[in-house]
Amino acid sequence: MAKRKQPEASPEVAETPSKRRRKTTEVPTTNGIHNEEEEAEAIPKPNNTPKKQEIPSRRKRKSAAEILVEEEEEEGNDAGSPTPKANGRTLFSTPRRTKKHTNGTPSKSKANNSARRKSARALAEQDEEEDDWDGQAALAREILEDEDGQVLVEAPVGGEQDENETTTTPVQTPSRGRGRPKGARNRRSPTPEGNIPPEERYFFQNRAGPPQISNNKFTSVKLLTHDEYYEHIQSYTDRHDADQARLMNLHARSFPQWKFEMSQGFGLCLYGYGSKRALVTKFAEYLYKTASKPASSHHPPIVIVNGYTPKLSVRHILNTVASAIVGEDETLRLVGQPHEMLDTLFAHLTAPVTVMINSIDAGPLRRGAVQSVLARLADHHMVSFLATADSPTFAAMWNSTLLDRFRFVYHDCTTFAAYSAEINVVDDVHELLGRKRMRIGGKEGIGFVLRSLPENARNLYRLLLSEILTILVDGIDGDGATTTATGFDDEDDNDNEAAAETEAGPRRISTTAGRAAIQKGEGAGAEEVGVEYRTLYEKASTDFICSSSMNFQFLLKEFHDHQLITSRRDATGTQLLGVPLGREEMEAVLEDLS
Amino acid sequence: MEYEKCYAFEPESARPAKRRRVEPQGLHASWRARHEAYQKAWREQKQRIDAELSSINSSTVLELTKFLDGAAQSNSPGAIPTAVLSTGPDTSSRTSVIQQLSGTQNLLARKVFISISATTGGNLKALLKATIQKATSRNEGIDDQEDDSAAQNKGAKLLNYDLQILANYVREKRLQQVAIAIQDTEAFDSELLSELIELLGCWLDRIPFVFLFTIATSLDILQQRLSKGAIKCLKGQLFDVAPSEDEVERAFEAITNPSTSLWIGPELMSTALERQSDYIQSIGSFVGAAQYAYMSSYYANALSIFLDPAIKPSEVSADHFEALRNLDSFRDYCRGLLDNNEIVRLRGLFDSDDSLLKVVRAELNRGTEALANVMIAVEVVRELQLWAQGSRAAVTSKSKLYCQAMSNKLAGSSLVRSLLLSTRKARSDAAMRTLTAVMGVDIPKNLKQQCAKIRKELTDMVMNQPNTGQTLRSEDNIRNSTLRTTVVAQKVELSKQKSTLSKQDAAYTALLRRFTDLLDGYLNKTFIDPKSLLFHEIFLYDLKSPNRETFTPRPRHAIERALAAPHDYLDCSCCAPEQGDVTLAASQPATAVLYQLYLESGSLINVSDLWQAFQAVLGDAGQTEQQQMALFLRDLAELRYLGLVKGTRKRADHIAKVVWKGL
Repeated sequence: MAKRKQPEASPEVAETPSKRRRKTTEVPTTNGIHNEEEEAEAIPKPNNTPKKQEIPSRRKRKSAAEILVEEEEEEGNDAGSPTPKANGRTLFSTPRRTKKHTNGTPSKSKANNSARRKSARALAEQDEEEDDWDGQAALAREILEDEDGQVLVEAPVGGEQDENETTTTPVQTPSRGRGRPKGARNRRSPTPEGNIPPEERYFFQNRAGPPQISNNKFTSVKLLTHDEYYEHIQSYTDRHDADQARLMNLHARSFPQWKFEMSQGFGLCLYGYGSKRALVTKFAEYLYKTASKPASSHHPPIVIVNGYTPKLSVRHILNTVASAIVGEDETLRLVGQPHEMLDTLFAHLTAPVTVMINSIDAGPLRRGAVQSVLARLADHHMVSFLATADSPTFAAMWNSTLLDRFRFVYHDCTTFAAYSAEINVVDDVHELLGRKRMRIGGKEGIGFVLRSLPENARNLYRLLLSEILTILVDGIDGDGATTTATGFDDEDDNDNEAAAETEAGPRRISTTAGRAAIQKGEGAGAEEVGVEYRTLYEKASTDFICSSSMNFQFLLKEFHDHQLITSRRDATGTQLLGVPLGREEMEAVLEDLS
Repeated sequence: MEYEKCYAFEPESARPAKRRRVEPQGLHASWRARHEAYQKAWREQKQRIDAELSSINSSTVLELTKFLDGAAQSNSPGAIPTAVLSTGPDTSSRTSVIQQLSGTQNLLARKVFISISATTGGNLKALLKATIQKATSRNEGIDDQEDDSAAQNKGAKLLNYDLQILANYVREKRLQQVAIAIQDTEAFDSELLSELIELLGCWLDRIPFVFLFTIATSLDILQQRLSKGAIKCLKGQLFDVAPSEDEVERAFEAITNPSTSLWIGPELMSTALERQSDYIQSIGSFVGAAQYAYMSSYYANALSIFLDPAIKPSEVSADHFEALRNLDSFRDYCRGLLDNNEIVRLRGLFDSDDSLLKVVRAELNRGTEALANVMIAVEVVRELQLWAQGSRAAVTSKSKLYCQAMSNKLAGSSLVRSLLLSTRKARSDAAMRTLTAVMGVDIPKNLKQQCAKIRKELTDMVMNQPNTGQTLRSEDNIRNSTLRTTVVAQKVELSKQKSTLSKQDAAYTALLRRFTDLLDGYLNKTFIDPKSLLFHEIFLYDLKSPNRETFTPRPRHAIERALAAPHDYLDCSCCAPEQGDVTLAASQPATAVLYQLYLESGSLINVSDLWQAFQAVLGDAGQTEQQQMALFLRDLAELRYLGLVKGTRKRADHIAKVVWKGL
């Protein structure tokens, strides 16, 4: 650095000793950057005191670190102004100009990484003086950038530039190579998506993304209710219907092959995108028609299992198979553990039976215990087994023992058919977005249930609703003072009928009068208003709605059974009661009740 | 029916509409005959494989049976006799041994053989319950009545995990032995296993237990896992089970039996073998692959009907003969006939199906014979390897050599050359052994005769040499010449000098050369290119893709491809990519659109942005906004169902990307 300095005729006498001094103190490796604290020291006072006088006096009592800082400042200063004026310090008199390129700072984080810098900063902090913060950082950065500009010799610093021009030059010069510029981490690298190996592709596709995400809220969009969804999805016609039918026919052409494979003791596993339920049914029909009829004209039974149906148990499957093989006349009851049931079943299994399982990788069947029962079932020589799998990773369910039993041959059966039965669309999306599930029936359903309940139950519900609404109103009224979060405004609630209080962004309403609590919901960001259990009970008893806590609990249980209320505990363990309705719906129900 | 949990299928209309009986036309017509031919061919093959496989562990099974018998005779108090089977990591071999054993043991009266595994029960109670039930339920059918009355006499009802039940049962039936096989010892919780052993040890005076542990790791590990008390209860003996590579080799040998009509080609065989060694799979999957190859060939190749030697010309439709005449190998054959001016014969093949059938039969026999000869030659090579290298470990496996030979890589290969060279260097005793070994192989007759002649000469030579008892040495052996280093003018000079060889040695060398030349000629003649055989399309099945697609699917790739490039599947006119460039288009299925937007995003996805982008892509495709919303919801739910996205708690209204494309 000293070398670098030499060409420029440094006019100040006071500076030369400082250079020497620095050499002895051995801190000149600096190509780093200042921290604000360091810079604070280095920055001139707003009153533009020429530093020339100040420096020597300070230096006497200052540590090496500060000297270093000063040095750099001087150096940078010199570099930045190729035409130093007689009192070169005046350059610093206009901190305003430096603001212009605060964005161009090349590597502020680099400074933080330097341990030496850190210690220097710590020393500097000891006798730091009150400085103006405005523009300091920027100024220091400018210094550094000027320095950078000098290192790259091609820095086009014009000789006669005025101050404004000089400030712009550092931005134009390419920044020095070491360390990536600020913000580069978040910028997407221009890696082409072409032929990169899978593991690289992972990193390509999982680049840090936060800055890419806007702050747009989905709250302003109203999700559809069940009815609306069905209405619109029914009215939608897919332009690819014909192509899907062709695809289906293509698969249907391999039915004889599948049948042959099944007859040879292989199991079939159909995978690929799209619901394969229709295909399976078609195949079952084909098997039914082409089955070689035994003398009794009794078709070999085909059992179809819908794996995606919630609460499906393996016992249910086994019992269905059992009743299918014995026919209508007898009944075969299987009891005990699934494997025992299977033993009993095998004892009666003398004729071939086909078992077809839709979505074998769906939730209810995914457990290892269930799969091992199914594998044993599939392994039996009288059982022809077919399974369809929807998820891309279904193969991970089976270990080698199970695979040995299934003896699967796999076929790609992409159908592009919609998963109409497999997915409960509206509920699933609500769950995905962390919103509470919408109660089927909504306002009308609740009204219907309430009408069938006794008078005091209705009164209690009314009380609950009014309490919750009061809290909501209070919360909004006290918005300025008590809510701290973003995105909560009246518009939200007016826009949204269905899930008003959940759709607002994160918000926190402090309890009003200590009797109500607002609490964060379980779902991501979703929040829910609730009334404390005890508060509601006290209110109810003062209103003569219920005489005892037993009575109160009984009523609540009734509500709970009909999904009229939701109940949960907040972080402190207090039980909170809420209503699974939007605000408008609550008001409507309240109106109906009174 | 789609919301039903499970149901027995009934067709829509109980009476199927009267269908026009469609008789299969053309080449399809022969499927029935081919099916029968397949059944026959595979049944034979399967029997051979089963016989090979059951023989492989027969000695172990025999030993185990002996052990069990011995345990039944001598009632050793205090310790349960235990057989520990070390099987290695392959799960199938252990099950096969246990199965064979239980098959023989359970037939015997007064003995019970049950096997339990870690999945039988997670706690002691469940394990005991299952054990007792399995042990006592064996011949319930025979004397059900008696059991009931006996139970009634007891009075107090015992809990179903009480070993007293088993003890009573043993006393009633006067059982000599209750053998418990534990199939996956490693999978058990070690404390549970120790507890079980200790408990059963306590009952040993009333119930004659015998244990059979199969271990995949080592005896030491088993010992470490068990408690000291449990180990005290056991009196063990170790048995070894053949490793799985041996099983594969045996199965392979059965598959390439000379009497097979359909041969599996080198490419398919090598991929199947590779898969077998890369992922330790049971022998069942290898056999399954072979079976599937048979199935594919008979199902898809109409000409496989000719593999049935008993087929009559009347049973084969004209289409098949037409197809025969279009085979590449037949065309080459015809060209050869033309070149030889055998026009009349050629004419006959074209005009008469009968004469063609005759040729086909003869050629099929010749072809399979040639392949069987390849197997014999492979065996010769292995014998040479064994005697040249001197150890079993150096011998290349038969399956590997088969794959090389069948892809015509062995004829004149460096492997064979170096083998013959090293044979040439052998001393007379080693050469004698090699000769004998080669003659032990099922080589053609004339070769055998010539070998015998050489052997006789060699014997004479050894007997007639002056100092009997000394072996003859070959000139070609480098060890018989010495290297001499001389320092001449500060330079080292190397000079080779043949050590003096006797006249007999020279004669011996000549004899050896005759032998190796003979072998060389034989091997070069036998290692033919199977693809050059006439009608190899019929008896040689070597298609990799059907097996690959059915046994090693890529479901993830299929789904990703369907969503990222739906045109590949739908083949629709609207979504056809321009110039091979897959792009987002409103005409694509909505889920595909959403998926491609999903691919473009980072690990967190703002649903609002996603919705806006989705809307923008769909644009004015003719749906209302509500419809678009419905589609959006549906597709979002589909992505979730496929496991591509999940909810996140990091930010509200965001979803997390779980799966990346292209793995």
